[in-house]
Amino acid sequence: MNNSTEIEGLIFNIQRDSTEDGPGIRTTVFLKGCTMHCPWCHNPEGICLSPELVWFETRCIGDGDCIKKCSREALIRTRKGVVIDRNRCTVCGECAVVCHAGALEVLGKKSKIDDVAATILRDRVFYEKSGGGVTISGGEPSLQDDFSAALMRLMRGEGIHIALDTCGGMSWDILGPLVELADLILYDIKLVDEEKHRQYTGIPLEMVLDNARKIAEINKPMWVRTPVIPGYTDSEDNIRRVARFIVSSLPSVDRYDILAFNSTCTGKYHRLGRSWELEETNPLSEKAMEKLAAAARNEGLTFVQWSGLTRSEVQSEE
Amino acid sequence: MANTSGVPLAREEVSDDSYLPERIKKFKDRLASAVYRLDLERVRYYTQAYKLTENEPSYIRAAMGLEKTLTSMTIRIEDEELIVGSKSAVAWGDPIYIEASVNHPHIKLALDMYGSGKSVEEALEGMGGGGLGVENAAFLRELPNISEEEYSELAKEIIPYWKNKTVEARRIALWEKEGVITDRKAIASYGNPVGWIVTDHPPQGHLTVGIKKVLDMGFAGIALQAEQKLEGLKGQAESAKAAKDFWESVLVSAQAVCSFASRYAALAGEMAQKANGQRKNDLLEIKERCLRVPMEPPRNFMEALQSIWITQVVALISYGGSSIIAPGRLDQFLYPFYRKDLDTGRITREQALEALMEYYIKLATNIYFGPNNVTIGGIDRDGEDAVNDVSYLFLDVHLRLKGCMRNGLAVRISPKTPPDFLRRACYTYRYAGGVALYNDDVVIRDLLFDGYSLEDARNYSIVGCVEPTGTGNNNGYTATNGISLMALFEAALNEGGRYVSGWKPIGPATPPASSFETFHDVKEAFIKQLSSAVDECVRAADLKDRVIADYYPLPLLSSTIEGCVESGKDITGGGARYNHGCITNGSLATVANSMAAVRQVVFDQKLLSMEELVRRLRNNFQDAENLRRQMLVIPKYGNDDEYVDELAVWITSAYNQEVRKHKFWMGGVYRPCIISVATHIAWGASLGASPDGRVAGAPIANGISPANGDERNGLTALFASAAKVCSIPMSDGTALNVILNPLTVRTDEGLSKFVSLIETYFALGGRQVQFNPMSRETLLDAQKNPERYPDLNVKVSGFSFRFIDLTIKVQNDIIARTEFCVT
Repeated sequence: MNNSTEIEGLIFNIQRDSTEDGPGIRTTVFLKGCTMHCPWCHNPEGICLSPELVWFETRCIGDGDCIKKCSREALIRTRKGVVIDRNRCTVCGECAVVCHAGALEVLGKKSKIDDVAATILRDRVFYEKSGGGVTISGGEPSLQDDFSAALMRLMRGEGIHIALDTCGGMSWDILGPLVELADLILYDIKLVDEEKHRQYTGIPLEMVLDNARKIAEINKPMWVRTPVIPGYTDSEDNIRRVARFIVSSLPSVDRYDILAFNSTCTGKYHRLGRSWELEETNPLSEKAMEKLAAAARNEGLTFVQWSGLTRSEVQSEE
Repeated sequence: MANTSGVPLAREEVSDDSYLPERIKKFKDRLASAVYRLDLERVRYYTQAYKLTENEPSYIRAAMGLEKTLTSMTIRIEDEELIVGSKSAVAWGDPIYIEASVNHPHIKLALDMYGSGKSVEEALEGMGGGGLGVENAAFLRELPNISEEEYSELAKEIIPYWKNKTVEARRIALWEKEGVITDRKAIASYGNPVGWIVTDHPPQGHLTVGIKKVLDMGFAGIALQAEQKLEGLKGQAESAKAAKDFWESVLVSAQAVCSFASRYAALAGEMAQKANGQRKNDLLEIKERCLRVPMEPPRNFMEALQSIWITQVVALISYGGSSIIAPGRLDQFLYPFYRKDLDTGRITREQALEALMEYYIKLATNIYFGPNNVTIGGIDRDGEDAVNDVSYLFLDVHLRLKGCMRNGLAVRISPKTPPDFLRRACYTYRYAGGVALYNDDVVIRDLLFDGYSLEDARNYSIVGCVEPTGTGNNNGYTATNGISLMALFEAALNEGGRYVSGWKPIGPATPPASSFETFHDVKEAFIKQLSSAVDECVRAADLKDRVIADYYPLPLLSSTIEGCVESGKDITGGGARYNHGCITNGSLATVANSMAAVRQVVFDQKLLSMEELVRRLRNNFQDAENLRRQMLVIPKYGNDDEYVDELAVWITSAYNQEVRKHKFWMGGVYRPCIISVATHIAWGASLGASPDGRVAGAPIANGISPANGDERNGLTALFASAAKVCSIPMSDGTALNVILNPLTVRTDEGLSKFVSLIETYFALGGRQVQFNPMSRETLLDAQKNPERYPDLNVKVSGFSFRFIDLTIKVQNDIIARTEFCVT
């Protein structure tokens, strides 16, 4: 840690004017790589711990410069556009450099910590007015714990409010120090069912719940969040179990958010060359979300909110 | 100041018309479905009056024209109306100000359409105006038929008489004499080769009518004021002749307004005789109000509203329905009446709301140019918070009517403004566009820079699109004469030549681009072009202004403006307390992006020579699509990127200096302004390819907004960029247009965050911002034509997406939730 300014992180997005990742106006830093592999993941480009190449159909002008440039013949022109042969592609990024239309993009850039910090600090006044700050998210930020810790220290020095957005799927040895550095933890509890949790996320439920308890023990403010995924996490029973766990074990929780599923990320899966089992899934109705929120409130939580894109009234009637 | 604040409306009340009072719903529907008709009455009566007064002074002729019109024109009281008065004999038409030009769009259209089988599109094409016509011709719901009589009256009586007498004809003659310009056609429209334009319309732009004076004194009081002045003249020498003429014209005009109101009183009385029940009472009350106002000061809320409306009507009749006459700070004017009526039980909040809705719908009948801004909020003359219950009422009116045509609500925000007022103003974006937010701190600073007193600066109103002026104390003259910065930048790269002139030199011969050795040389050539265009524009405008002052003064309007009756001069001759000229422009982002692109590829990266770049531009990037794409990804204004923002500030500053170098001929300053209504389309059509990657003919950026779709880093970055530009005193206003997905402010939490964004933008020194909620129509169109919306971003659950990158199914979900109504 002598030379912290040399530290680089693998980042797939820095989103300014971010309004759904904690209080106020924030800048969210998305770190690449995750310990879980939930089938519903909304940021599939955040799962893999190395850069990935994607092709945007709507931006492509079809000049073929990328294909000519690729020395490994990993780009193939088809009737459906440019297809990336991911077995050949080394994600060298040369094609993206020659594509001035921006149709090819490497997701995940090695970024120097000072540059990341400078971008975050540009919106300092907006944080001050709105009670916002920076959110370290991912992926799972603890997978790049050196970078995350260094960035959080820098931000502490600047007096910027820090939220750490974690799935909890990491040993406390690594996660704990990051939690210490944060002002607020955005904590995902997706499912309270040992078997299903392990099946869907690849991580034992106990680890997630244990980490949550430890965060509560040191009195760190927490917002718990549950993504409501049809067929996976959307049963009233599941929401009740999460709520019960919060009531019984997490006194430092300020808020419980249930987040309605949407399929806006379908295109991302396609661009990564993957199909997605949820792409045909409909959004939930407002009523269903209200019902889940009510179920959580019935367990004694007073700070339950739901958000996200829901089915319109018209669609509900269909 | 105490307030009861807006009662929050239930979602249904806003999104469902059935919650509007029946009467209001009818008015709204009537307006929305009215069909445009040519209205020749004003032209007819003014022509008659001018023919009869050939040897009279200009002041008297103008007053006689008004008197003839106000006493002769058709008047009517519509079913269920409580506030009466109409500027036109037809439901959807404008009184035409023929004095400016016989090429008025309505006249051109009428002549063009007569006996022709043209389509609406062809008709609009024929209107010319370089795009302005097309943008503003939304009023053409179907093609107007004009009768043979109307055609023959226009062709035989009206046009032959005015042909050589209009402002346009006289200033062209004067310009030729003074050698201003050789190609007189060149400056007739936006997008012309010279890169600057003047307007022949009174009052050389737009202004706030002196509502406060009318409420305080009544037109009888104004007439008395003029009489006393005339009295004081007795026995004085001939030298005061002009003042005498002016005061006489004020007297005639003020009396004509009083008789106009009396005609409405008489009509209401007549109608009452035939009416029964509630309507009979209503008509009798209308009669009583019209007997009282605007002759005398109003005694209650309804009289005040009637007085305000009829004053607007006569102002529009007097100077033509195509002018933009703003009423100013109506919440300030109306509050004392509202408070008193409320306290004495004369009116309820609901009744006042309904009356204001009726007024607001009437205000939306300005059909050729819009919008009509009502100013609310802000601080008062003493610097104290001025928000009151009527300010909230106007927000509710706007919300309930979901905006109204192109009416704009200019909402002033100061550090003293109650937080819930700003919140309420932002709340309107859930359901309607049309609210613009102004930062008192910055606007007042700018106005002080123009020479306004602190008290008068604090009392500013918004007129036209976004232009701040004093309230009822100045000559207006906002957003008028203009230059196109981008046209001048094009000339700077082409030795004064322009795409639209076939690269023939129009501006001064600056050195060829091939000789530019440093980026500084580029800037220098631009300054030379800019300086020369502003000089020419000012010289041409001065001559044109003198034509207006000599031939077409504005006695009625002047009589309401502080300083005029006092000084014996009207507003076209420098009689107002404050006088200022204006030169506007609107393509800031395109020029800044283009300069940044030149700097990067030619001077920083040395990818190609200046000469080659210019050649590529002249060829419209033919066979150089890759170069163009490269230019497209060079930093763009609106993303908080210093590389280009610094240039945007430099351009604004250079433009500010060039404009402010000139003194206005009436005294006072020339004010700079950065807006575009549709001019960015017209100017864009006349421009070759630009270094920012824009192809020839494509629109340029609008106001101080980023070029189309260039904002990629969210609102915080956009505001940071814009705030830098706002540090330069563009006192005649700047427009920052932002497309907003109404879903962003759907929840209370989302709304709170949105409000804090605005607060921060203003704390950073942003001047103004207006949000155009993305409509369903836009989204549907983007779905169908993705190529036209490369950078349409939608925010869903905090994530920004390029709309066209989403799958159709997801797009449909978003469309279904975007229940926006933008009329």
